Amino acid sequence: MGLLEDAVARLRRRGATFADARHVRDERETLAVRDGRVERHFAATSEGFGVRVLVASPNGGAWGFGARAGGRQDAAALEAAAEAALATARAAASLASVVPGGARVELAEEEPQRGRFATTVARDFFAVPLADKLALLHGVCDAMRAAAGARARSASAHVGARRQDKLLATSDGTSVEQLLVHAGGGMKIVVAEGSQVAHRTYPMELDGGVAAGGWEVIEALDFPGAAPRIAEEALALLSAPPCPAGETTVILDTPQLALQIHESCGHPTESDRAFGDEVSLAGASFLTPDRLGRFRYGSRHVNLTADATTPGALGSFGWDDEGVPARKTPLVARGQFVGYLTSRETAARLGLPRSGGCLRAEAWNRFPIIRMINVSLEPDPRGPSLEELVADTDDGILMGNNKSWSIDDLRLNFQFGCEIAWEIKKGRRTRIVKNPLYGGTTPRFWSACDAVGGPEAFRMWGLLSCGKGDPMQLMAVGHGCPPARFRGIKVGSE
Amino acid sequence: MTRPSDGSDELIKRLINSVRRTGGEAELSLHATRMGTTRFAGSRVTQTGDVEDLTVQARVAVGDRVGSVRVNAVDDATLDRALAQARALAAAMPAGSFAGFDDGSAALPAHAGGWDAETAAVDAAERARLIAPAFAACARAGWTAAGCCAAGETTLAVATSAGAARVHRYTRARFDLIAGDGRIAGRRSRDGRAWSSVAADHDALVDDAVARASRSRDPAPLPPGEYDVILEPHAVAELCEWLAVTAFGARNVEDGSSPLAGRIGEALTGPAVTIYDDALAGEDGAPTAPFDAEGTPRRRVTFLDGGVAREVVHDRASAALAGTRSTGHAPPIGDELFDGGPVPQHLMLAPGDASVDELIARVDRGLYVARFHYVNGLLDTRRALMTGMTRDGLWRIEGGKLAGPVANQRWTESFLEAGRRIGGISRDRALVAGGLSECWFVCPTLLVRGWKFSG
Repeated sequence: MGLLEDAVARLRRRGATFADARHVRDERETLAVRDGRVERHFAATSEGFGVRVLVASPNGGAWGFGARAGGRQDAAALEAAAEAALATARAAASLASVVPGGARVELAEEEPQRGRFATTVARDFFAVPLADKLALLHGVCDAMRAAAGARARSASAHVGARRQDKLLATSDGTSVEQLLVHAGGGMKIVVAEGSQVAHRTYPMELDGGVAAGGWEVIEALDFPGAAPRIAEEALALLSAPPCPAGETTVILDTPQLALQIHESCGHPTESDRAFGDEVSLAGASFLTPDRLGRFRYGSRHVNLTADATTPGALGSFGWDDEGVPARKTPLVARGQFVGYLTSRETAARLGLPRSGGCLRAEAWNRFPIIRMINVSLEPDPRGPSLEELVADTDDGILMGNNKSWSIDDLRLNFQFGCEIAWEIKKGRRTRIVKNPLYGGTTPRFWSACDAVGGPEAFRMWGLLSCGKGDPMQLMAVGHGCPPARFRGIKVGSE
Repeated sequence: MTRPSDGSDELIKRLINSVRRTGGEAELSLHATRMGTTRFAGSRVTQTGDVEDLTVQARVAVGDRVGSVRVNAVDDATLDRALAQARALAAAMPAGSFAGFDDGSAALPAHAGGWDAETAAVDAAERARLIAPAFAACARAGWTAAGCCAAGETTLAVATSAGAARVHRYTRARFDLIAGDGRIAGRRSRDGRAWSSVAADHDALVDDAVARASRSRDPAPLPPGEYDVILEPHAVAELCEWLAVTAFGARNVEDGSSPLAGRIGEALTGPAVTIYDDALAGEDGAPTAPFDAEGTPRRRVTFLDGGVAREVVHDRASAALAGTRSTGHAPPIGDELFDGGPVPQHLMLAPGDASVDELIARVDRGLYVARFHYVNGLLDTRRALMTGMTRDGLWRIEGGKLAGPVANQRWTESFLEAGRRIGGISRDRALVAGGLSECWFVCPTLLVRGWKFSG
């Protein structure tokens, strides 16, 4: 830590108004099997320094960033990163005089932080013998194939884990160390008959089930228990009718609702997007600053929060990458838009006293930007279970795991496709329908929410590959939710 | 730390020596980058950085078992340790079907070259000099500037115990400008392997972005329906990016999800559509890569030839499984988004013979589309059914001429079906860098009849 503290002190002496320096050692293991063979396995280590500086400019400050690979004691790599950060900041400052005025760079206050944070791990994923991991994965693939019979086309399963050991020192006195660990996995069966191809995944497409922790995360998913069911559902999809088109009641089960929250609440509440800073890649946001506290985002049932303190969740940590301690921030309260995901810079720009602690970088070699933490739909304290919600619905569609996702650059106009859906008739799940799609616009959709499940139905999900930034950064984020019901939603199969 | 710009000879020698020291069957594959980026919005710099990184993948085979380890250093001790760890992992793996490491016997194919000294030397100050006129021009027109300017270099190197020793360097540069106010946007961008080509005619590019923004004021609503569309190269490239990951890789065919699965030799689109991967020719300024992460020489692969399904790309493992030879398309090391097996990284759509103005003149009532946003190609991969939005420029075409702006629209369309409704293809193409990963697309402007918009 002393090396980092010395580096930021030197940067201050050389004219930086603020500086922070990180060292991150990143370890990963990925193991994937498919149809009886190991398809992918590697153990990866990457470590290096990322240095960020703020130098004076006509609009208050200009950021620079430099990153170099190296171990914790590699003073030369740290120095090279610091030099690169200063050079890029000075070049950025030179541009501030081209268009005078504009937003000033100021940082919200934060107390200097000291300490250590570590994810609670019951069983170290990296210490589990390879043979045990292979036995699990081959076993569930065999189970899926056995259940699918002759129509099985492909069965695959994967597990993986990541451990990040991070040191951070800032020029305003913060020195913190964190050990963040997550693990997870998933499985997939593809079936075919004639020209028809269908698939099911468990527990969800994309990254599977991922959470902070170790091998216990994978054990809790009970892959063997789920294998026969998803194979049978995949077979049912081969002969299922397409999802009927029309306007109906939709219940989103938690794997799909998690992605709905991600795309239509998480991203639009990122304050850098709201200020237009992400417009060249991911886009902007319909939740512009003038709407903060004044805009009806959804119905009174809708309460959304950002919380990095949730134990076991993928977006939890001790401090963000500028040393702001993990916090909980309301984003939507009883349907009203009340908060953003913020950094120290955007909090100051919004006139807020403190950052929400959302500035994070994928790795040592990326500039930290505003990212989701755990953005969740709060359960209704007296809300129903999924089956009670279905029983309370006369006619509608229950949407399962996500299959496709698309939303416009303001996060308004969306369309989601799911792997599977069930028709609901007179309070009962009836037939399976294939290729279900639903779409709408964000405030209208959330305003159509008339029921949110209870605490017992709440489930925390994790996504590993939230893409944002340029160069692209993939971030691990969490989304918790119970199932929820939405009235008058457009559905169909194409 | 070895920089990408350090001597290639010294680098490859180091890899070779390490492979020799370890004994047995081994491979070291390196991917190193130095990239400087300046990102801006609201006519101020929002993110900037100068980053050097590398990934080395060590693979060791013990019989037909393979262990794989990745590290981010190239000192002898780290390489030796990575190879030893890979050997230990290999010993713990179950019996497999090791396809062998490249033996280096095949000569590297001729390629267009790819490294440019000027581009490799571009620093933050040089990037700022290209950005400044854009800030000023946008301010004069009452807009702000957003976008990105980047330049850097990549080194690829592979050494195997079987005898391969290959190294290649290439550079790349990018300038992307959105003139606008957060809602209205006019956008132009250039990608290339040389800074000089990206910076050429800079004022014209900036002026065009500003003019496009000005022509996008007060967009009108559009009733849902089918419209003839002119798709600019960036819009076409987004479709191609999804085809790259859902249709044109061997694994897509293995699991039956590709539209080409079981249909080789069949016409999947109309005859106007020819799509191929060519990492060698450097068409329209595309970076080149004569071998893949396994050291296998790349070859041109044609996926759709006049609409007819022909072949897909392979790495060594998928080729062994399919009883064929690798096409040199192993996925790049350390790219988390390319975990789906072999993938085309230099996708080209063959040009036609029309000018863009001639294409517009063929449209009586339609839309001119600058870009798509957030396309998703997973709806029905067998049909290449995709959905997405328009962004950064959508205008009506009336009577063969460009008319007023239209509000952004959602569309859902099958690429295969749209490929049977091609009304023309431009002879000029543009290089577009992939949005998610290190891949490039060279695409013309397309006229497609009856594109489906849902509002």
